[in-house]
Amino acid sequence: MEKNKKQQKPKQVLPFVEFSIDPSGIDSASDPQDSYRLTFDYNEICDAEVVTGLNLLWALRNLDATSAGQMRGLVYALLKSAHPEVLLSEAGALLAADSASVINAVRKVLKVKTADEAVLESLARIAAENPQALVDMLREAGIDFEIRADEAPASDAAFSDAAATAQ
Amino acid sequence: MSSSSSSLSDLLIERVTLTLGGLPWRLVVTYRVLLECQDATGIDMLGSVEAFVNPTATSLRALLYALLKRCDEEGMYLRRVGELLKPENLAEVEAAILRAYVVSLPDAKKKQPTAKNKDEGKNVPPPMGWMETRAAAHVELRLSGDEWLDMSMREFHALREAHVEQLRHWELIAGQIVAAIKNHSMNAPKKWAQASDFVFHRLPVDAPERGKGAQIDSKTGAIWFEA
Repeated sequence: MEKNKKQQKPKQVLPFVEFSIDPSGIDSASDPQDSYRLTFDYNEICDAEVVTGLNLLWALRNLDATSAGQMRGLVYALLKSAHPEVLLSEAGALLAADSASVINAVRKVLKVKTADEAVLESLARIAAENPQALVDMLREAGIDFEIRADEAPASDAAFSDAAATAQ
Repeated sequence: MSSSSSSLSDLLIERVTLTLGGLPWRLVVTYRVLLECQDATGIDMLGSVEAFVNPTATSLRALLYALLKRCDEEGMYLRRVGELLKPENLAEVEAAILRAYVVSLPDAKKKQPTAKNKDEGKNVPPPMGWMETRAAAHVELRLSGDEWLDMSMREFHALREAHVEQLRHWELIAGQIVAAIKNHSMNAPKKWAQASDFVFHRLPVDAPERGKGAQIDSKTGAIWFEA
């Protein structure tokens, strides 16, 4: 009895990622919307695995190597919390209409970094650990850059020195 | 709740702890955990390592549910386990479950010297299924259902090995008596019989040549001896 009470507790509030899409490009049975919400709910992913018959955990880990079916299953699972009425075919229609926006939103909700974000993050890490190395690296690569004094942390003497050297 | 529960299996096995929902959980893969997971997913958990090496979202949730339920039977249910899983902790959870599985497995058998190399690989028994394991637990080790289910595979096979060692000891004592009778009988063999010829659970190094020594017919139970 008590167990049942526990099971009936309100659903937890999950963070979501919203994306917009041109509704005219969507071929769907129901009225297409212009914005959708994606939410990570592991239980929905398990339910979607049953619907699709595909290993979606593998797809989560290897987002760049997923098959079309797995990506459709993932989008379906991530849509399901905010759009309970969504169908697997509608998730496919969204991908067909604007795959870039949809996949980008999937990456955001799964917290998977894009290649550009990963490069920027590693550059920021090098800048924090060894600013001079970053300056040398950019020079070697022949990239024009400018370090403004107002962007350098006041307490970081090494960064200020590097900025001075670069100028 | 989560960290306080400790059975004998908890104490005998390497500690694998996973922090989920702000609580530390001790992960121990027992027969009960495997059976519950098999029940939920339909995967043969004794005969296959697929659920641990290449899990699906469903099998990972079922495994984690069975593992956490060991520690908190009242408060744990399948969808709550799903709520504890996030993109940030998936890799950590998978790694912890795999580690818990690996430490629950019996040690790889040490390669013992065999009498004949030609027989190598021919007599490798297939892995034990659920019925064979249950039968061995009940008949050989005289374990109750719960005692067996709360054991890790490592613990069960250690007990079984000790049981076979004990059998070998009694068979050797009986073999000494039988060998003495045979060697001093009126029709004594030219090559004296050894006590180890009458041991059925032989060490590979003591195994006689094919067709020699004491033999038992697995169908009729008839026993005979050839020097």
